Amino acid sequence: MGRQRFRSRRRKVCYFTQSKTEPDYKDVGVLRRFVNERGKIVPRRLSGVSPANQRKLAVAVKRARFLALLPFVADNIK
Amino acid sequence: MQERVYETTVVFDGVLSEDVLKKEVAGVKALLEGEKAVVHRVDEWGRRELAYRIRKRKSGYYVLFVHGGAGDIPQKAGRVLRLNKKVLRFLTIAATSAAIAPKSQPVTVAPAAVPAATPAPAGPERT
Repeated sequence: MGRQRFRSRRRKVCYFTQSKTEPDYKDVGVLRRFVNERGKIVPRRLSGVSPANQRKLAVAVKRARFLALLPFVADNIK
Repeated sequence: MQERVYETTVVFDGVLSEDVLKKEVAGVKALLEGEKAVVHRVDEWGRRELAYRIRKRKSGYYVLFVHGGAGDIPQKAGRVLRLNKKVLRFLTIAATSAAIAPKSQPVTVAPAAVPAATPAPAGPERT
């Protein structure tokens, strides 16, 4: 029986904690990093964002969507 | 009473001319000041492509107003902005006093300009 080898995973770091910023609906360039190609918010298990910042990020993305800075649904999927 | 700070982002119709937009921006500023708000900052982001069509328009002119005042200002100003046909969207949020200080412009989605032609570095040519 072979021994299972586990590769140690690199711990994800919260982008906002590291850069000492907060999610802002005006920073579309940053928000785009946390939505997938469909326009959906990326879960924190994939993005590594801290729980508090993920909640703020969700609000910021929704505000940006309302102002038509970000799409609700990507154009190629409509 | 403690002054509250608000951020109002207004999206004007993108097909309007510069003169009309200038008047509209001044109009919104006057509206806020008429409601006894103190307008701390007006940031014009300019014309940007909308992520989706609003009232059959593809572009909008974004302006951010940072203002302070009593708690009923967003409601009163919103009532007037909602009736303005030249305003496609507006959003007022409660901000912190840190919003009063000017920040760098948000990242634009406009295509990047083509860099000027620079001489290629000397080196062996690849075929």
